Amino acid sequence: MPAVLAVDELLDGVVKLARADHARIVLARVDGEVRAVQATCTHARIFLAPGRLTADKLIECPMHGAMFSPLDGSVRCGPATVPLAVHEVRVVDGMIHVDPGEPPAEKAAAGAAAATSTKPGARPSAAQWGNWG
Amino acid sequence: MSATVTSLAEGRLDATLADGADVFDLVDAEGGHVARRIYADAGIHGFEQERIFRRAWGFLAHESELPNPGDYVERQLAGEHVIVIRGDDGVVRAFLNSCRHRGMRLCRADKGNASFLRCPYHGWSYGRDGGLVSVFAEELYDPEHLDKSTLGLIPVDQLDSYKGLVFGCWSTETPPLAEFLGDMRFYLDILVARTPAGSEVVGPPQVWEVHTNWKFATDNFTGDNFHLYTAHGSVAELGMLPPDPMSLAFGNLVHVQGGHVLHIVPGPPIPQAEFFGVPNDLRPLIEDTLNPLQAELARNHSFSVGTVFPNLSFMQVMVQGSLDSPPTPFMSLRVWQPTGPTTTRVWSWLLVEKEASPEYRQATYEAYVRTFGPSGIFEQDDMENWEECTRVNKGAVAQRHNLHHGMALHLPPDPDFVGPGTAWPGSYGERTQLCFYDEWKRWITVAHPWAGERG
Repeated sequence: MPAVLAVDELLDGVVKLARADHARIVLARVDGEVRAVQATCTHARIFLAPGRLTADKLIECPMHGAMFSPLDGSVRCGPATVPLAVHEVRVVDGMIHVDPGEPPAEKAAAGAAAATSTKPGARPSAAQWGNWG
Repeated sequence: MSATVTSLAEGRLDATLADGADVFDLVDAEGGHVARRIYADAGIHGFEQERIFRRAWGFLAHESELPNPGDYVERQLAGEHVIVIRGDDGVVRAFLNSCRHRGMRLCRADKGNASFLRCPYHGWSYGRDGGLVSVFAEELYDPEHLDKSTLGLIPVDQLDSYKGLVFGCWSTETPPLAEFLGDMRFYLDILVARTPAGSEVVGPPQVWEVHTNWKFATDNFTGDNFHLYTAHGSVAELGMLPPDPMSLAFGNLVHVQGGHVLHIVPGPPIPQAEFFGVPNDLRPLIEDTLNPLQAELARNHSFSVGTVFPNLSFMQVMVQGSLDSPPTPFMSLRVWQPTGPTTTRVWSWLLVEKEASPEYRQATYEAYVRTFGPSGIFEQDDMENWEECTRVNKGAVAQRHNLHHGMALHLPPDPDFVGPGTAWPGSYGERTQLCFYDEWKRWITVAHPWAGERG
């Protein structure tokens, strides 16, 4: 597990963006516990913003206002419907270590959609269309 | 693609504004920046009227609005009133809507059928072909001073049509319509002339006034798909857009030529979404009417929005008109007519295939009115954004800073795209907007914008 940040640099209630190998992640410290989830919102695939957790200790997406729990990645407020992937965290000798997970799975979960749409000849999947598809 | 006017052989026109600024410097298509004052400046509005709208071909009417001799509509071309009327010989003509006597606006109705065009002031009367027919108290004129053959209505300098779309032009220097449209005709065929009988308008156009600069409309109609999930967020929240904000990012952005631009976007991977979602009974007609490349594009796509330079736009889209109705296609034509530096009159027509069933005609009309009519659930959101953009960009402090048009400019053209023009992959991007603004600058700063080397 790669080290991504000194634990002293992550204050309680703070949200930070970081990178663990190939994975872009969001780090947050909730009641002393360090948590890591995927860095891109599952709705519009934009990067979640560094800053602070909300008063309810949630991560708020800066674009459409979706809310996620940093504890388990679950959606607490739409428009997102898919939870954030959770990355395993260990704190060793004052350093936060994060499991980047499998590269393909991470890629499929986030980030890839924007790039896919600009591949010549690419077409959207049925899953992206909900009732329309 | 990105040749700038300075590299051209033809002459530059002086485009200096009152404060010494040069319009040439206000659009940086290479860098992806546009000056805010292009949306709120009286001097620029003057240049636009003189150099764009009095020189370019402008959309006037659809031939189906004038089925019979004597049918007329009143329209505007470069802000001047125009009568478009079908003569007894079946020919559609267009004239300045102004009596030769005192200049009175001759025709005061939006549309109708007229045996003669009679001036409301002193009664000079003109035939359906524009000729001066009668003058009140004609016997009181010295015949030497009243040569009626020279006093017909003033014709629009050039008038022509393409597949039912009637265009006029106030300049005899401008190349013919076919040349002006060029390869855009390939796409117009797909949109407005895809069945043997072609398309026709449904009802009269809806017309409304907006406190915006007209270029915010064309900017949006160069194929801006990436505003959908924010500007139309309430519609998205209700579930009337596909749930994934990237679902509409696929397809291509295309600069056809001369500032004519569009996007063409695939829908969900289901048969209903092919051929822009039109009913099955129309699809064989489309395949038989279009050439194979056009038919392939129609089959593989559900949405296409674009603009014929300078201010005729189209939208072929599938929408949910209400929460419980299925996605339904419609095809609308738009004219964004500047009435001042920060005011625009919007003209909106619904087109439908002449072969359409009564049920589909009803469904497409309803989908259009509910979503993109003047009170439509989408249209309202756009007007609010364009009005606020215009209001804020009037500010002298705001105008110190350029606007950003930089999305997806690094992507190379898509070699697999089958239509004419330069196509970039993906429909979220700002290439087509910059191509439009580059052409806008060209028409204001170049003597013969239609001529010479192009990128």
